[in-house]
Amino acid sequence: MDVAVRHDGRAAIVQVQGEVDLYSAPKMREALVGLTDGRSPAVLVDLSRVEYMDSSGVATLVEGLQRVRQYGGQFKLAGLAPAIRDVFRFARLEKVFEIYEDTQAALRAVR
Amino acid sequence: MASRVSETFQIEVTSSPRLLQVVRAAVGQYGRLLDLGEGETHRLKTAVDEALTNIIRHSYGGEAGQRIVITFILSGARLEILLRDFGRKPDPARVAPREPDLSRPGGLGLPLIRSVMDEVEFDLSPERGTILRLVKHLGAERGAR
Repeated sequence: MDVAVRHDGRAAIVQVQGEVDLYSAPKMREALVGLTDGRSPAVLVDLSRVEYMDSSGVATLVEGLQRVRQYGGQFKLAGLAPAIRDVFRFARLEKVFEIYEDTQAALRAVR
Repeated sequence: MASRVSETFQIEVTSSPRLLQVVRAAVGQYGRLLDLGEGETHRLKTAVDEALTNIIRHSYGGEAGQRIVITFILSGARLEILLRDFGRKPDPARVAPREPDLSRPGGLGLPLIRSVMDEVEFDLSPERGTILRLVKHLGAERGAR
């Protein structure tokens, strides 16, 4: 799994690629903790290149969301393939996150 | 569909998180062999992956090198998956059906397994460890692409 961070205006875009599980989720967590420690005002996680995500990945995103909420920032997910979206739906977390079709739509929603 | 066991196979892994992707690949290959649709194959992968993750984290407390045996038994349209570990038995309260809880996000795995499998049962009777029995009735999506 690969994680890359780029910036677009006020937003930090976390691009995740590959399979996110118990083994690889810490790498995504490291990127999110770095951004939230720096109080990034808007964190967008681009999941369009994620082929698989389990509850370890979802839990890492829940933690990211909670950390951003603590300082009043914005946390958005983008580009979920149907199978990845299913994981959020089955975990009943689909409505907990702001989920967008792609990063462009998520960027437009940054306030 | 025939009620006899038509085929079975077994995978044994140690409790190494990096082997999760290897097991998922095997489940994906079996899903293709059974001509399951992409969605159903993904859900099977999810169930097995989450079960293994729970065993690694809870039964073995993250300790590497411990045995996990996964047995697949296909009987007609009924697929049974047994996950055998030899570690700490789960707390019955922890494995009882419940809603996902955002305040403890680490507990999402079992609700996920329950949402994608038809039967989920913990057999705590072995002297050491646990057998988790997962059952999926294949059919609705079989052959769908």
